[in-house]
Amino acid sequence: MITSEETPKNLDITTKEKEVVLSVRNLGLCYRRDKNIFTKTSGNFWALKDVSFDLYKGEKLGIIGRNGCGKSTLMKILTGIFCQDKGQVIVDKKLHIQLLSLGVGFERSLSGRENAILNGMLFGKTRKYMLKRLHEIREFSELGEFFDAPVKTYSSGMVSRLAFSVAIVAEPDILLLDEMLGVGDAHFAEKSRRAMNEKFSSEQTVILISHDPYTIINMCNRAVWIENGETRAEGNVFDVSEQYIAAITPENLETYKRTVAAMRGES
Amino acid sequence: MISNFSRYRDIVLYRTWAELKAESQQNYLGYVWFLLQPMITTAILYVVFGVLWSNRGGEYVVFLLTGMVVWQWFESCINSGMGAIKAKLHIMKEIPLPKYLFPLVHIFADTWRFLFVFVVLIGFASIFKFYPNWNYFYLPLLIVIHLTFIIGIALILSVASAYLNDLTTIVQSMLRILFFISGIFFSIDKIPAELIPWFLANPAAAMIHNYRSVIIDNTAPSLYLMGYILALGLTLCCIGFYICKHFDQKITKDISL
Repeated sequence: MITSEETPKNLDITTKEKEVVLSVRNLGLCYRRDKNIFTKTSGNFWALKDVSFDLYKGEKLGIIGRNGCGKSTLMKILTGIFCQDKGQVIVDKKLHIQLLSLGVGFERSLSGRENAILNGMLFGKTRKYMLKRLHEIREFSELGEFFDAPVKTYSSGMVSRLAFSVAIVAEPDILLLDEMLGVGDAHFAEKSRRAMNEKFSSEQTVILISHDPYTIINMCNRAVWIENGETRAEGNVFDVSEQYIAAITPENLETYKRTVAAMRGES
Repeated sequence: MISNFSRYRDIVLYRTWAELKAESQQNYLGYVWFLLQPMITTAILYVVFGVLWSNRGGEYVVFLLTGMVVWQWFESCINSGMGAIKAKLHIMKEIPLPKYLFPLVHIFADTWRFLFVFVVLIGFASIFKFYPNWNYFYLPLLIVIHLTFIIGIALILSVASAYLNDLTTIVQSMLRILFFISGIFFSIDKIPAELIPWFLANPAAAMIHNYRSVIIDNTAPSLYLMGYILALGLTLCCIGFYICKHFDQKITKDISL
């Protein structure tokens, strides 16, 4: 599936042996803007022009790029919400790819318990599975008796705690993350960060999108840099981030190199 | 495929239940509203057409109420089903879901309310000496056939209205016209014989006529009318599910919130 010239140079030995679970080839997507029949302005906008990369089983792939480079559009194609206009996504149809989004479809008048089931079912889990994990969700969210109270009586922190706790038990085959999530007060933010880190150190295949190279080098082993809807670089996380910083904020390059040297020294 | 089907079925059932529960908690009167609504309209219609146009009597009350209850089911399913995709697009922009799920949720919730009111209607009819009869066994079949028609038309409208905002207004105007020509407050005898086929070509009129045959006239509903609505319903359902599938990934991209 991968031809030799497309294989990045600086692949870790660990990822080289692993199987490709998803590959994206020359992906393009165009937003059409002709809403009114009377003012038919053809303002076609290609959010993605030519994106290609591979995702290996169990790896943590970082997708880095500036705001508006097409990262979120790419996520929507990978999860199957949008259909691309050109190129292809090669993936086993049976694999469940899920964007981790918090509190989608919460019904305010239902209890936390009911919303947990509802939300989990939207995330591709069965009702039975959610019933089995309810205890865990209740424990993790620290909602206590509020778990059985309507969500409209929650504070916004409680809503996000519930949302995060549900999202964390949904275990898709490929997990997509739009920025790192840390929710709630200092205590819960730390706890959720730890839960996220656990995901990253497990066998879970993860794609993390971020505009911040430091997040990517901390969490991922490989990275793809997307600029203006095109793949600029793919490969080792440090090299890709370096190219990204060199192009976006060259003045920070020195600081970055020092950080990376320190990180490598530690490990 | 099968696991997906059971998952979608669970989502529809659970969300329907959730919607009914949420609604009954939000209003003080809860379920009583579903009863009050057709009753109030019936009372108004009775004053206008019964008292003023001297159509008095218990029979006319049952006649009106049957028409109103069935009409309200039809109208509310179309209205809520039509707006369902647009209303829940924010969910479908985060999670890939078949577009027919949310219209179905609204239709099933409205149908549940209808069944609740319908049972009360049957009890009410008994007060005016229209007792349950053997033809009542046709009622479940009638409801299923009519539901097929409603689902078909609501699915098509829900995709179409996501693209064309104006459609909602157009459909509402058409429903207002339908209300007056579906024989809710007048009987089919008042229509000139040569116009009756045209009158019954309107599915809403045919539906109401079917229920009245059973509840008031104590006769079996017309097989011809049942077949007509079923054929229409199945055709519309095929088109409806097809366009839901066809626009599945387009609609999330094309419609910005």
